[in-house]
Amino acid sequence: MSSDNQNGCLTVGEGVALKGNFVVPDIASISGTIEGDLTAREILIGPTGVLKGNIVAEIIDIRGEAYENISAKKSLFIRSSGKVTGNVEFSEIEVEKGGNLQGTLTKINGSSSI
Amino acid sequence: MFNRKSNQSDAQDNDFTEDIDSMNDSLPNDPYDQSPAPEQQAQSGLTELLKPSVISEGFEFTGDVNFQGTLNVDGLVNGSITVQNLLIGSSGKVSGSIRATTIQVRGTFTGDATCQDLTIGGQASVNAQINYSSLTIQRGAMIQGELTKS
Repeated sequence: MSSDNQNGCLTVGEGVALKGNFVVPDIASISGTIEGDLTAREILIGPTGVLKGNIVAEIIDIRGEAYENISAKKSLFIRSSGKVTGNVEFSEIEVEKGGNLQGTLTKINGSSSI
Repeated sequence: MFNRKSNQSDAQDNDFTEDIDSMNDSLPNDPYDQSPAPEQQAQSGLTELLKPSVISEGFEFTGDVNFQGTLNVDGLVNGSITVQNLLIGSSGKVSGSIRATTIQVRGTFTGDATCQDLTIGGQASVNAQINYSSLTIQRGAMIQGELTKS
């Protein structure tokens, strides 16, 4: 995480619960709970993080939980503690051993823009 | 090719010449005969279960496979497969339904599967409904379909 420059970044600490729709130009780092739509360039869900809703980003890295619609235009990483349930779209996926992935998987053509 | 249980065609050729030798010598217990013995053992008894059965590259098989052992598919299988361990090699293609304890896919798989451990390699292409308990997907794998965890 670029802690020097946090322009355009959203950090949700552990224990924080948000509802609503969020558009984040850069990195969304979630250790709390968000219900609603979240669009960002990059979404990092920490081990305690929970996201429910339409999740759209180029890169999504999940150590926590994500539900409903998850769309990673470039890469989706599900770490061993990660849990993903719902409709999942990605152009590239990696699941570590122990990762939990349930739902419908769709491969989309990767967007070359970043 | 009728006895093609595994990639032993070379060994079988050797067996053949050795058999002729022993016939000429009229010595059924020729010590020369003992070299292929481990291979022969593998074709019966428990040893077989430890050795993988191989559908090699270029081999196309349509039908059902059912046994308790390891199956390596480098060729093409159409049909249902029930085995202990299944490895679909990088040139292997399987379409049909699979029941196995462990499945490793490095090639192509289409259909449905039920397994405990599922590993999908980086070059793999999978379009399937899969029920698994433990899952690993390496980066670069092509996967579409539905996953459920049991």
